[in-house]
Amino acid sequence: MRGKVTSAGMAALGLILGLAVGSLNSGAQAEPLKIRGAWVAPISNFASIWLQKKDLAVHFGHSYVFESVRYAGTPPMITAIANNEVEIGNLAFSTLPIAIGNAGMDDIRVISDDFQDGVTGYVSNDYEVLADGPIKKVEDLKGKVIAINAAGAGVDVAMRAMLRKHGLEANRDYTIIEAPFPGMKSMLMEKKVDLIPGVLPFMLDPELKKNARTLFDMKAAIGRSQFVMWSSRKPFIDAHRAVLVDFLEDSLRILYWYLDPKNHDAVAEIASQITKQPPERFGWVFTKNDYYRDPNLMPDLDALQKNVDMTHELGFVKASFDVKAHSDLSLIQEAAKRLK
Amino acid sequence: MAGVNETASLAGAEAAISRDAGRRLDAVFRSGAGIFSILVLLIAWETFARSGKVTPFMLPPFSAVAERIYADAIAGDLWRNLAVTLFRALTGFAIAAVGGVALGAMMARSRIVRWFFDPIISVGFPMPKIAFLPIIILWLGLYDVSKISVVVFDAIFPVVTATLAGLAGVERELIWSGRNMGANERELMWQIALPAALPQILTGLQVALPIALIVAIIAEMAMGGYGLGGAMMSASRFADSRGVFAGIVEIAIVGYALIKAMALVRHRLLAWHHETVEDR
Repeated sequence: MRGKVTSAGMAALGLILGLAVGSLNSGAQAEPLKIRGAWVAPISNFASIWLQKKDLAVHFGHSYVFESVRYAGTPPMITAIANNEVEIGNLAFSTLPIAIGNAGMDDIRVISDDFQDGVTGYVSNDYEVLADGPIKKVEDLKGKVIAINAAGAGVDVAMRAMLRKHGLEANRDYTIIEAPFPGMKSMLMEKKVDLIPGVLPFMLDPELKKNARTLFDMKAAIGRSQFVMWSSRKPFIDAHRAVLVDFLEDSLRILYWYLDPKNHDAVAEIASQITKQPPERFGWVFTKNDYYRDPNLMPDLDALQKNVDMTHELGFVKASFDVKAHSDLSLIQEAAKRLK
Repeated sequence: MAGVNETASLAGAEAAISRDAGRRLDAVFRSGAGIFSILVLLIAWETFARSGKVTPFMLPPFSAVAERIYADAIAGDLWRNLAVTLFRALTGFAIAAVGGVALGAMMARSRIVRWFFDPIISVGFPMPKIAFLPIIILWLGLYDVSKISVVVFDAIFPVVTATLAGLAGVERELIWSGRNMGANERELMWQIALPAALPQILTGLQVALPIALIVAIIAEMAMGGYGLGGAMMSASRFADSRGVFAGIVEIAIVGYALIKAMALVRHRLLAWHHETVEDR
């Protein structure tokens, strides 16, 4: 009798615990996963304009919620990824090897494209000097000050590569300072710096176009590059694969809308609202006057491999690595399949 | 009687020896305690970093950081960065010291000068002067002039206030005595008031010196180029945590050395003062 009572009690306790755990689990599943995506340059980085078309995201608010977070450059994202403060990093070709090689985050995986530089027929970042200034050729930068958004960022590494080709080394031959992209035009025009990187949309500023000229562009410096891409950590991907596919499916849906020429005026209006600039200035967005964005968000891993090798050759990381082993394109492929 | 005297002198000698031994023991204990706590901190750092609870990116072991400092020293990077940072910090400090003492003395002597500068000092002292960095860059560029200027701007306030307070606190009797002995205003200031206010002025300088070092490093971090701050920022951007922690250790050592050097200067300059005499 006593044994039966104990067994019944245990069974009841088990049932209560089971129900409690079950309700906790269902509660956890009901809560959408928070995905934080990093970006640096407005408009140019897809994450910066993603939320403006969240009405197209069918899974948004159900399986996940998306939050876009601005960073001064891709290097600070490494720390954020290491601290799990951002789920989708917007790493550049230079910061991916720094994150893997230097920060030891071997579990980072490239999951999709953001944009590529140096693709024929599309815009390439450029490096600008004062139109009437003393810098006529790369060698003239000896002893000068160069602004970049963050040391180790893509525009920084490409600039160093170009200057190295001309026999100039950072610190020894020129000084690098960090400045936010929006403030660079004033610094150049006030002659506080001698060279600035031109990235979209800032490179199209009318005053800058009037007073500055291109010394060289990124394509001339490093050729084609997988400039920035979305990347996430393997444990996060493994734990939330299905939700990430939902997110990428919505991202593709939004990208298709942005790329559709019939939405061009609405896109310019969105860009205008974000940057507080007149919409007429955004005729370039998602056209051939923009960076190349793969229409299926597929990164160019061959270009990325060359970029990573170059970052190693420049001495920023001790060793190169196989980028395919640090990519997981199955998510974006699965997301694309759903939309066919 | 002679026996009593001998006993008394022996007792006095014993007491003196005992006091001396006590003082030495105290000094040994105090210096030992300092080394001991630093050692405990370093062992805890090394142990925690090697425990596997954190990645080397988040916290590299102290031994790896020490190795990095050694490598930087051999390569010459450490000395070059150290020299540049010290040049900026000490130049800024020297300008702040001379300018601060001069302004404080003028404020103490002249009501008009005090009337003019008092509100500026009161408003400016608690302000985070480093917030002016973007404006200083705009006006003075990115080289040494702007970095030294921001150091001066930050370090001058404690010197001015300490000088002013020191001079205001000089005993009236000293000034009256000087006047009675025929000293003119200049002699009163140089030979009586400033020496009497020196302990407080030196306290202001002792506050200003670490501020100068801190601000120089922050300015370097913000503006880039050579220097300990620039090297740390660069290491941070390249996810080189050993470089970042090496910078922190180097700054700690430099800061400690500067503070000790300043204390030594104070000791020498105030050799006549009761605080030094009591220390002996």
